[in-house]
Amino acid sequence: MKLLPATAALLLPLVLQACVLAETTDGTALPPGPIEQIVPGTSTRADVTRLLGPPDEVIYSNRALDPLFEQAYRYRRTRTKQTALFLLLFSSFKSDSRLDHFMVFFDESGVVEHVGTLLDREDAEYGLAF
Amino acid sequence: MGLRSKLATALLACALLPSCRFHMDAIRTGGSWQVEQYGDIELGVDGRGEVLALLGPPDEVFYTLSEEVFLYRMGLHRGSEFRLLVPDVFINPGRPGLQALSPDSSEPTALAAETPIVSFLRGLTENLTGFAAPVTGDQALSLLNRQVRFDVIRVVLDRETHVTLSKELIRNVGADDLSSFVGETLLLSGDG
Repeated sequence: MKLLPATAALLLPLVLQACVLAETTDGTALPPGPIEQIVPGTSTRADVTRLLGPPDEVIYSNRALDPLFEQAYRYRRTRTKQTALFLLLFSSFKSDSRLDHFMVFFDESGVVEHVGTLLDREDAEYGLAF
Repeated sequence: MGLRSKLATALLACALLPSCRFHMDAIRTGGSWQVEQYGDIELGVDGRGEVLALLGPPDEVFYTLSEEVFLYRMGLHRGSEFRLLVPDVFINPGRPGLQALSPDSSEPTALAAETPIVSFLRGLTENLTGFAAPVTGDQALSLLNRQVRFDVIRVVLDRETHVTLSKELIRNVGADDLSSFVGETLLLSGDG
């Protein structure tokens, strides 16, 4: 029985060295406070950039007969948590990507018309694939 | 069975065991909408604001002469498999790596100038660790991403009134088919 803890202590580093936890975050930070200050029908394009900074993507109107204008701004922050376990006879890989995603649509005068919000980034989880 | 046979069997088992591995994957990427929320969209009644409230911001937005098209995608993969790890030293002893299996890939030019001793040591290391890591990290990730299947929602709105005209839920779209699906969306909805 005395051998058991010693064996476990010897095996533990072998298991640990085959375990990887990785987290990557990409995109613009989206604090909830400034998002709540953007009000459809009131806020303007200037308000949006003042509160949130430059967007990750600008979506343009592309109608041939219309003047080109900025139809919508997209802000997106992605968090990915990856868990990998590689043993001799078994391996497991889990990748969980979650988004903070905010889109604001403008009318032709540059006033906010609609907003879409998804604040899901904190829900990304580590774990095994089962 | 004699001692020699037992020893030979044990050696063979030790040699073969690391070449098989049970592997499990779980990958999730994209938005967080539910099918029930898709079902709640009322065509001709709900507008852009309701769609954004139900499904959140779309992953893609397209405009045609008369329509605004929202595209949502959510990627999921969960699977398990037995993997036979064959080190490619057995496949092509002269060229470690997966080059033997993927003729399009070319070796980095920076490595072409390495000294013979560095080249020898790199080849030796790759061959010795072939059983443990038969593909590189990037190649493994690429293989994994190819396995992800996407559920896609396409919502078409009137461009002027922003009222919903049509909606469609397509399940199980392969990652390789996603780009052609976007092209198809433009062709279907495009009127100019």
